Amino acid sequence: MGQRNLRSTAVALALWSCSITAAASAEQIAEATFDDKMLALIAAVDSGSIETGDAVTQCVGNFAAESKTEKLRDVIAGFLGVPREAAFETGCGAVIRLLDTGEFSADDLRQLIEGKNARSKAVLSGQLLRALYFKHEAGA
Amino acid sequence: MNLSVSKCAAALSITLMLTACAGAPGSGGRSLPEVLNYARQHPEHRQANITDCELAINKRPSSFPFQTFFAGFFDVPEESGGQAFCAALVEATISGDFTQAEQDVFRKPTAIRGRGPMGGLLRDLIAAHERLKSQAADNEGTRSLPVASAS
Repeated sequence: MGQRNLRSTAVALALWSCSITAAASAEQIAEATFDDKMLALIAAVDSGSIETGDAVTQCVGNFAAESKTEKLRDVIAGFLGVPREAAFETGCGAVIRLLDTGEFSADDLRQLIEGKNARSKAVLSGQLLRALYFKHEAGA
Repeated sequence: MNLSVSKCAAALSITLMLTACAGAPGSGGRSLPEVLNYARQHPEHRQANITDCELAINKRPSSFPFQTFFAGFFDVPEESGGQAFCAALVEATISGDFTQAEQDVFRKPTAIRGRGPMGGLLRDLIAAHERLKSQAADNEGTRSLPVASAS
């Protein structure tokens, strides 16, 4: 359970930034996994090829399209102190702003998804949650 | 990658809630819920409650690098992650942010209680940690204030 859960934990946090590039074809979108979409969005935000608002919209859309995100919605809502209905938009908004400002690096987010080191991913997960909290509180 | 969000939420739930609040016995036989109950009744024993909390969580087998996660979460050295978690949990409990009713919710199966309480507890924890940090800074500042001359 450990490695899978740890990895899943990291992805749960990082998935808040998950989405797809604007250039992806419909076929690619259909085939892309959550992680693929997340990595593509991170790349797009990191390169400046997508507007912040569009990135947030894509992120929210991805979550809305995934039926299994409802449980994560509750966690985010509780952690950020927002209604369930606003959870994804709030979480996605905070992650994208963190990336935009460089307060959380694209490399660290990639590491959360693709990294193999459990301890490294654990500390990054904690750091991302912390960063999300303060980003949200600052903007609330 | 073949990860699902349900796994993500389950992982968060398992690693945080079960580790924190499911009731593993500490060295003195006190489970974490018992430690928190005692903290509400005896807030003057804060340090002893923190110590008992650490004993309880250190006895709990977990494959998740709990200390490491909370080191990142609280922005403290890795070796201090567990201590910071317990200090924050006891502070949240004593302050009334983490109430008995909220604690009792975790006795219910996840399928019934949902994941919201876990998010709320994490929020309480980070707020408590920041409050303790601020208090420590204030105390440090008070100690370093120049003493007024009596003359």
